[in-house]
Amino acid sequence: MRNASRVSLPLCGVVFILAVLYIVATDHRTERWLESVVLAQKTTEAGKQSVPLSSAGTMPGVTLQRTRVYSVKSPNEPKTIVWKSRKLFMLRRAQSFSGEMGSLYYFGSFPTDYSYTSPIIGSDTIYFSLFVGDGYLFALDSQTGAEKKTLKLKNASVSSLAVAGDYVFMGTSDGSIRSIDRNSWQLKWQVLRDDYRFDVTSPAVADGVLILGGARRIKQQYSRADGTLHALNAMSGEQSWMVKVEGVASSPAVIEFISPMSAAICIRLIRIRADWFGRRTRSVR
Amino acid sequence: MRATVALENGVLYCSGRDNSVYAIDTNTGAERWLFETRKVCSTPVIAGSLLCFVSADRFLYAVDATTGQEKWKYKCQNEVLGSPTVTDDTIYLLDEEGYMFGLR
Repeated sequence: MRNASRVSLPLCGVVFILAVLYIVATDHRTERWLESVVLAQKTTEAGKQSVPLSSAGTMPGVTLQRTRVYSVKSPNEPKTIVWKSRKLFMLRRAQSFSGEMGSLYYFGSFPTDYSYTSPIIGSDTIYFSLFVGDGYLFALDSQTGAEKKTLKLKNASVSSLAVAGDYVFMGTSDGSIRSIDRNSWQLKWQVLRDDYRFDVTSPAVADGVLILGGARRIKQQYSRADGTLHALNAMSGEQSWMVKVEGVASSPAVIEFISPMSAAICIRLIRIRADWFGRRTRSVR
Repeated sequence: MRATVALENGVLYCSGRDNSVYAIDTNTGAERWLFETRKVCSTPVIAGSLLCFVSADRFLYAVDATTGQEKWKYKCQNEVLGSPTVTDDTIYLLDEEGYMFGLR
């Protein structure tokens, strides 16, 4: 009997505590209090840092993997041109020359250096970059074709663009990585390197991290053998990590981007891509 | 081959220098289909069940991604630069004369 009470007393205590916990847990006031705590926590976090930037969210239909897959309905045969922009640039594929040297008349042409990127779309604006001696970034209204903004970079070419949140990200041939506010067109941050150029790949933004490839600069050219992959905090421009690769890093694709794992995933990805093209890749961390 | 590849559901789509677009099985490496145009093609993009790309022959092509059958083609005024950008209602293209335009 005495033994039984010894056991039953703590048992009763435990049952009582569990019952109280059950009542408290199921009570709607507790539920509301918990919700308010979670909300307060979320708001504080949001104040510190908003939702991590990603180039997938803001570009409708564009997947993070950047494999040019648009999750849109199959387009019908186009019937009309809904708008046409003004003439935005002059593209000269070749530069011709002619002259006279005494009685000798000469003429000919040589190919010019130019490049362009496929347009990307982000919240009613189309962006593309272009190099025709100088680098340009164009932003057009996707409904009307009206020009929203043109940025010019003297003597430098601009990479493909990435749009995430309120920002446009790009790398340039003069060694800068830039983040520009899409609304005010003010420079949010820029990173300058004198040893690399960053116009060789398309940047990608995932989970608040900007990833882009670089190539070692040799005067105006770049080394095809000496590439890097850079990851930076998309909000601050602070470098998270960098890997060196043999051969120029291809445009990054991001799969299941989880911050600590990202480096490993990207290295693996470079290896896969490099293997695909029959190149040997070495990663250094 | 210089263009970027497009990848979906185990099939890799790419354009080659031989004026063609290929669909390649990523598991076996076997060629699913081949679509030939008269000139070199852009990076293909996947939009719904279609594969869209432009060719230097000034046509915008839409090909069934599974069979490689041509669904439609659209003759552009000038040669198009880069690959098309596709949204639910409009296709955006940039041409070599410096014009950007929306097709519907």
